[in-house]
Amino acid sequence: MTRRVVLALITLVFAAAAGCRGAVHPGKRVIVLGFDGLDYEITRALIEQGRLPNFKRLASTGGFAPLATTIPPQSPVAWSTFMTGLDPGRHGIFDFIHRNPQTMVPYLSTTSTAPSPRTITVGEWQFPLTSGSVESLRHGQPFWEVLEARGVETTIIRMPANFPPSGSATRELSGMGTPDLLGTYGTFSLYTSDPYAFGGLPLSGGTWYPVEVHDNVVRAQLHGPPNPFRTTGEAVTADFTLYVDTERPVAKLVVGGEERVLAVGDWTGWLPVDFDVRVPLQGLRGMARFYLKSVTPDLQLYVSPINIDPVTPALPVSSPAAYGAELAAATGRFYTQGMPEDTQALKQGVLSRAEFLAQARLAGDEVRRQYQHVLGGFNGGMLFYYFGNVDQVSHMLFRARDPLHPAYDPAVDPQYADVIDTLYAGLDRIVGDTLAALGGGDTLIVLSDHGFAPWRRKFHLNTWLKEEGFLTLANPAREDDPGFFGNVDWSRTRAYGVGLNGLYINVRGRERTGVVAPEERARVRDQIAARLLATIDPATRQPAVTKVYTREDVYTDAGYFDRAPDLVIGYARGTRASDESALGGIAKTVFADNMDPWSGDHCMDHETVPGVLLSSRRLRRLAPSLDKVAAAVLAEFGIEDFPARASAAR
Amino acid sequence: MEPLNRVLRAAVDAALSPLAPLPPIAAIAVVSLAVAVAMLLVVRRTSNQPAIAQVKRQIQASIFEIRLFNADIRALHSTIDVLRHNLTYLRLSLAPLPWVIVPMTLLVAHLQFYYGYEGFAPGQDAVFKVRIARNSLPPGGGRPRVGLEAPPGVQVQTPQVWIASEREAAWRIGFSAPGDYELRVTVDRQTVTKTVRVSGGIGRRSPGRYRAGLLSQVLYPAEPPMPPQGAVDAIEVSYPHRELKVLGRRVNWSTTFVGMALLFAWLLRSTLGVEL
Repeated sequence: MTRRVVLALITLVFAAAAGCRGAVHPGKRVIVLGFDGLDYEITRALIEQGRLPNFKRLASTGGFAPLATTIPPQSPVAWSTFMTGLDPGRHGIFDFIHRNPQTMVPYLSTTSTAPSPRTITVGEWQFPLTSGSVESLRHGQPFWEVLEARGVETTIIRMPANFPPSGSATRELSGMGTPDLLGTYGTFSLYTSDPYAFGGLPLSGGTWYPVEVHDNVVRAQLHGPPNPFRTTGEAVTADFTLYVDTERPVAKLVVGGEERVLAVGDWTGWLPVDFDVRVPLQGLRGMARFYLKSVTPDLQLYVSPINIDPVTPALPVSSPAAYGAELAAATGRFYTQGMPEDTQALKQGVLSRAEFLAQARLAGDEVRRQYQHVLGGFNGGMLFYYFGNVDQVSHMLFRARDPLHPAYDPAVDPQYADVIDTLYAGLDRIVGDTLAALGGGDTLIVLSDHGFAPWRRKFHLNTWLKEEGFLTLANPAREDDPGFFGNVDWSRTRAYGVGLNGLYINVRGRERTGVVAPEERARVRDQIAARLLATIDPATRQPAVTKVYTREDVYTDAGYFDRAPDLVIGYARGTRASDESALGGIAKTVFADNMDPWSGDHCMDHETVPGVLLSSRRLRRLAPSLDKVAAAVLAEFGIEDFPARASAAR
Repeated sequence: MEPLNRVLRAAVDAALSPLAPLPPIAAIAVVSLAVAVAMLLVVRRTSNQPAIAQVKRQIQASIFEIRLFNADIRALHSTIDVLRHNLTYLRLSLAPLPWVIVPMTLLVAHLQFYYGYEGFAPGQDAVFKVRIARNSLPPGGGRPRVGLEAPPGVQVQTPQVWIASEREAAWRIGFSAPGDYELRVTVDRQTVTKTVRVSGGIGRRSPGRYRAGLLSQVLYPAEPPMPPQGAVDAIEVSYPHRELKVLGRRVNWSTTFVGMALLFAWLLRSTLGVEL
């Protein structure tokens, strides 16, 4: 009898222990809203002005504090750190852009795609026997895996650097890093009847196509990715027709079986685009939005990047696979590309500022509608939802609130001065809706990955390296380099810059054309660091760089140092590496005024651009920096061992 | 043709109105069941049932013969017999066709306008197209004077696009409130109307109204035709096509309808004593 009682007690103890490992705090709801680029100082000022009443409510009930961001303060790096609780040395994402040390070619850091490795080839035709692959290059265990393992349902919507979706959450939709159908971060098209548009030059981030208007009809083609069934690399195409009314500012568009009438200034909704792969029963579907810019004197039709259609996705954008279609059925098709705001079209002058804002508003509205739907169906567990609108618009319109910006136009900019504040107010309404949906035991956490600063001065890092004698041109007569190190003599180059904050030593044995002996690497690195910190911008008479970190100082070596920069540069607030330099370009001067529409940024000294953290109640665990937030989220569910020791030690 | 269509519209409206509250898939199931029963009764009445039973037995016998004597020359004869009996079976099975083809064509044509299109919702928009009769175009290929008037609840959102090569005037119209609307098109002092339904429920929706003609009346019976000598050949409004989700796949209503009708017919054949 006694034996039976003891056995029963042991069984009970084990059952209780198993229960603890199973459902943690059943019924508890934690909502984490990720507001990319929400700046601490702007938020604080707007709270003080009374423009963010719901943020103020959060600040009074839970707390409002700056959140230390990552080194460097870039979104893919920062969100990877947030979701894994690991520093970049452990998750392997160091910048938007990494470089292949064998080819010196820059590539996007978060994802790699590969075609099918097994195909049957017949002449110019090939037939894949297996599907191609898409691989996330981010390492480490995302915090929702821990929750799922303990029986907590998680919904992860648009988490950056989570493409393809990890598959470990109950529901996932991929976010920043999700490409368009061409495999880029977004390539727009412009069809114009002006044969001299853009001086006949190609555009960055998009393509313009000359078209002819015959009897008021334009017949043209949308251009997709290379045909997977052809060895020739030719792009798949889809026909469209535009019937133009030259007497009135209006046209009818026909794409596949869809028709739309557009007045000048109108956007279509998402139209499915079926590309012809020239193989029976096979097809490739994407979707696009069209915008009629003008009919006369020249026709101009903007077409958004061809997005992956969430209803019939060509690449995985959700988990389970049908979740994207479920969201589309609930609130309509939506931008699946990770960064939908078409900043490139504004930079290239294809969209005006007003047109860009209209496009950004369309993208933002989709996200908000979808959030209301997801929030309405959220019954328990953890929900993460990401909003990127403020970040992208802040990049493009920051100068409108910065009279000291070299491109500030007092005639035009003041009318846009309030745009960013208005977007903050929109996020405040989202916080208000969320608070209204919360129960007594629920928690809302609001965070941003970094803040914002004006970007007034460009720093051409590779030009600086050239002038300091660390980089040598192959053809000195030609003083610059259009990009991808096309004019660099690697045999006489000791260092080079790639990405927005990265500087690499050209190390023998690591780089294909390395010249610096491994034992010399630290000396060259420290020499460069000292000179960078001593560099003064002649226009501002202030240091151009306020922090320089070695990777050994700030990262843990978990086996990904082959892709880590040797130095991470923290530019002074207001200064940033130029786009040209980020892609291996060399300009004629080290410094330049930033006259681009892209006038705000955060890829600077991380201490100058902190993010924010707010919560609806005091968190059980403090989170002063981004790498501590996931642990604080898990602590709300009573889980204290994140990141797991094994993962953190790697 | 229009008097018949008018009667059919009334009959189909009366028959389907009790099903309106049901989800489309359930309503189609009920219609499929009714059609399956009706078809079985017609087949029983119009086909030679004993002959069908006999030829099916002959097919089975021939197949059995092939299996028994598969190494014998008789297997070849039996194979030819199977083919011959199959042709006989086909001939006997097609006997009811003349009795069902006309009513089925008319029925499917009407059902298409119930289940083939989604309704518009407030906030949505659509393309509204008017194709002008060739003899109503101004001499010299100029632009005809075409007007469009929308009632409250419907907004004409764009100027008219004139597409000379298609003889088409098109607009974008938007909807702000649910309801059944009539839009007025004026061409050369002639006025014609077109119905537009803004509602989410199941109901008759007409994507096109056409000039009177036998084919157009058979294919587009949902709305009375326009006068044969009028200035307008066609008026169309782009209702979105409805897709049903069946077993996780999106399919057209007619595929679902035919599949369900065949399934019900197969299940009920013994109950109704029909040899298929």
